[in-house]
Amino acid sequence: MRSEERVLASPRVKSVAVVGNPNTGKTTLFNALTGFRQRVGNYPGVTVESKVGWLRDAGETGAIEVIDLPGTYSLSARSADEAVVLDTLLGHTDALERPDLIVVVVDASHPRRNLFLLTQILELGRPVIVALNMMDVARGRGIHWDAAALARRLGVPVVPVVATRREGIEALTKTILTAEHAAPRVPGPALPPAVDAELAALEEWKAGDAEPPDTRPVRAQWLQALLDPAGYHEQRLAVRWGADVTQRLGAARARLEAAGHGVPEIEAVARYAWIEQLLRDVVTCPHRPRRSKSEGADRVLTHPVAGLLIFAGLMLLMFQSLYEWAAPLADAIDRAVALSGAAVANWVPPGTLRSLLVDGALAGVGAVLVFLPQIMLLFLFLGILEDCGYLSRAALLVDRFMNVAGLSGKSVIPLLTSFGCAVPGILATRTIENARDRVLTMLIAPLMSCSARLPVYVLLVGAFVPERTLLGGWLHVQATVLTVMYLIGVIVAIPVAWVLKRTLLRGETLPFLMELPAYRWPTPRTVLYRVYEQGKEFCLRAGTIVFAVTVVIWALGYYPRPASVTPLPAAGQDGAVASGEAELAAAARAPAAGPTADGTNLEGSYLGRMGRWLEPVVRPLGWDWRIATATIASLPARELVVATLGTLFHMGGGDGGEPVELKERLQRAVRADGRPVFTLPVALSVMVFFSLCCQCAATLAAIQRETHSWRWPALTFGYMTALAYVGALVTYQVASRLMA
Amino acid sequence: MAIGECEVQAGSRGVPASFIDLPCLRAGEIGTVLEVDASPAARKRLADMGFIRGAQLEMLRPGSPCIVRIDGACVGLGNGHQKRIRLRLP
Ligand SMILES: Nc1nc2c(ncn2[C@@H]2O[C@H](COP(=O)(O)OP(=O)(O)OP(=O)(O)O)[C@@H](O)[C@H]2O)c(=O)[nH]1
Ligand SMILES: [Mg+2]
Repeated sequence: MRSEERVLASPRVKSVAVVGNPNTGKTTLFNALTGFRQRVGNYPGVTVESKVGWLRDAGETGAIEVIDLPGTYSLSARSADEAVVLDTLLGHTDALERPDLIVVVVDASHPRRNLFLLTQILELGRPVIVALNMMDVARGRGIHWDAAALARRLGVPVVPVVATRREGIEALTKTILTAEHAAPRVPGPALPPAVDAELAALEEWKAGDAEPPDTRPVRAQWLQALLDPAGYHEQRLAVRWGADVTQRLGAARARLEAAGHGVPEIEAVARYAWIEQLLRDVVTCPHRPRRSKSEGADRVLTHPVAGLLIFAGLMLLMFQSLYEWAAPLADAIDRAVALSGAAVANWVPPGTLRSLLVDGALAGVGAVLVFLPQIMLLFLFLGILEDCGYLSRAALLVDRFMNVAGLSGKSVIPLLTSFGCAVPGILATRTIENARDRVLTMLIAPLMSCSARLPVYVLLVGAFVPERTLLGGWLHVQATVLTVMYLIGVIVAIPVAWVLKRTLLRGETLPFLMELPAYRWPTPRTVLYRVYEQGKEFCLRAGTIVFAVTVVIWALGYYPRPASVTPLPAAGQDGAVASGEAELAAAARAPAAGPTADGTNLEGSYLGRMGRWLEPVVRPLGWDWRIATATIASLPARELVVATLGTLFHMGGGDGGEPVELKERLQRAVRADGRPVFTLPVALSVMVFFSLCCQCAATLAAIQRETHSWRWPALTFGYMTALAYVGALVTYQVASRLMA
Repeated sequence: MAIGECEVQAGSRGVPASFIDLPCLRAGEIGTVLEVDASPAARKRLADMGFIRGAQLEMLRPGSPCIVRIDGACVGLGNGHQKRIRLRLP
């Protein structure tokens, strides 16, 4: 239907793809063109999926789709994110129609390599516009472009822009709106005649087979198939036409080699030579490039010793300050939540509604919301790291250590991203070429302590770790425990990766290869928007999933209502579980059984009965049944444990409406036999459990989506839960012995 | 400073002194690529990023991975790639 419309209305473009080398400002340009706010950052591989927006000033022409794509160095794809680019450009996806105009973003400060991709795209037979981005950087480096001359030589429009400052965006929009629907006829680089002959033969071979003719591979595709053994194009064509293709391509390669043409290089040599000609009089570069500040910074920051120390120091600073800086703010929110709970309790008469509001909504959702300052601070740190250009240096520095575990530095960026949230971390693995290394990185990414664990850590550290300093005031014990929790995941990930690499995911790791962008001052807009976005997301989750689960937990803890203060309704009537009966008998004897002062009946509720079944499983960990229940309730998302603990200890609290913070409630909570629920060893054991467990449905779903299999998410959940249980067990047993 | 796996010293192995493998390049030195002797897939990868015969490389930080400047851009190269790149010194 859409193609019909196009024919009837006008030959104008309907959809535009933004393509270019990694980190050239494609997403910044996309955002400027569409008014969207997709994520940008100063490292290659920020965008790993296609994103669709609509041209902001499309005028009367109707909606024009703009598609943001990952970066790529050439039209031959090796990694999953590069495959997204080709799938879109060649119309291999069902989700998107093949774009009818390609905006090629060229980083004006790196002329040659950027034009390499451009010359390939010009041969795809689609209309092209060149956006000459980062003109400000180029000017600063003394690189001058003659855009008009370039446009004349290429035969396509060339628009100089500075995407960050929106310079030239209007001109680019206008150029898109008036673009002709005709492919450029470019005098492209000439390949050796022998290569041309092979390509012509291949084209002719399948000319009749491709129906509709629209799907016929153009010469540019055959060229990449020929030059990239077992690459994207060869695989695609082989799926379509069988092993014949592989055989033909192999024979052609052999003939070319025999004729003295180095197969993968012929193309690059021809193109770079052509680009050299093209750029004569178009670009003037300073003769000897000045040593930039960025390189000076790299002397220190990538120094094999000093650089590593700085990296370690940065990470420690980040984790330490998460506790130190944000705790006062969090305390204030905590206080406010407690006060509003007390206020509601004063207005609403005792009964179901009051319990739902105070014990359920406020105690649960409030308990999670308290940690908003920490979450925002964490994303402020990550945002600054992402936008200044340090991330790819971190990858370079750690590469050697990753090799020991069987991975390369490429995995570092997804893993660092996972400190914020594992889901984007898992997506970021798309930049890893080697499929096995990619899966391996996904499997260990959830071990990095994400922002959802932060509430668990901060709550328990604040409540149970003594507020002391060591080493003459330099080392705060609380902040150090938090840091250790972060380190546990990292340290455990090493042997896990090592084992997986030697069993399920064996294979060679590709050597490190990554561009290091120049350092740049982080843009406040970008960083603050990221903090805002993540803060909003966090609140949204508190308002939806956390709220829903809290209400369910509250209901399970509130019902069934006891008829009177008689012995508990005998759940043992079913007589199914013998140990459950024994537990219940114990509970009946305990003083806490039966409705408490505020009318709740936690011990006798559905939840209470369930918890009792769990008790034997968690007893070796030192846990109370309420902790076990909260852990089960947090299966969909880790921060739920805090909400559930909030609700559970509020219900059992019976404090008749005075404002009490959750921290204090946990400190006061006692078991049936009068011992406290939480001690330092118990708190540590809970924290270790949560640092290692995989209680996150979104993470498992992301792994499933990216690997197209349930095997890997199942394995991830299984191994992490086992590790978490063992870790918590060891922690409790060792800590309680040490303390005794 | 660790210079990675610099086994082939300039002048040894009967190669004229002005030919050198990339790991042997010292910080600040510039060389011109003579050949890349890797698997076809790796060669394609490197060629797409500009590592072809005739390209000028400046060593910024030797080691593994090293940082080289190529056409104004800094690129980090792991040992597996580095030791396959043969240079000619000016
Ligand atoms: N000085 C300057 N910086 C820019 C310009 N355009 C983009 N940037 C910065 O360049 C970096 C990369 O921008 P992105 O838009 O994320 O680049 P991308 O091409 O989408 O990157 P990938 O998705 O990783 O391929 C960011 O730090 C931007 O702020 C520009 O015109 N001038
Ligand atoms: Mg992007």
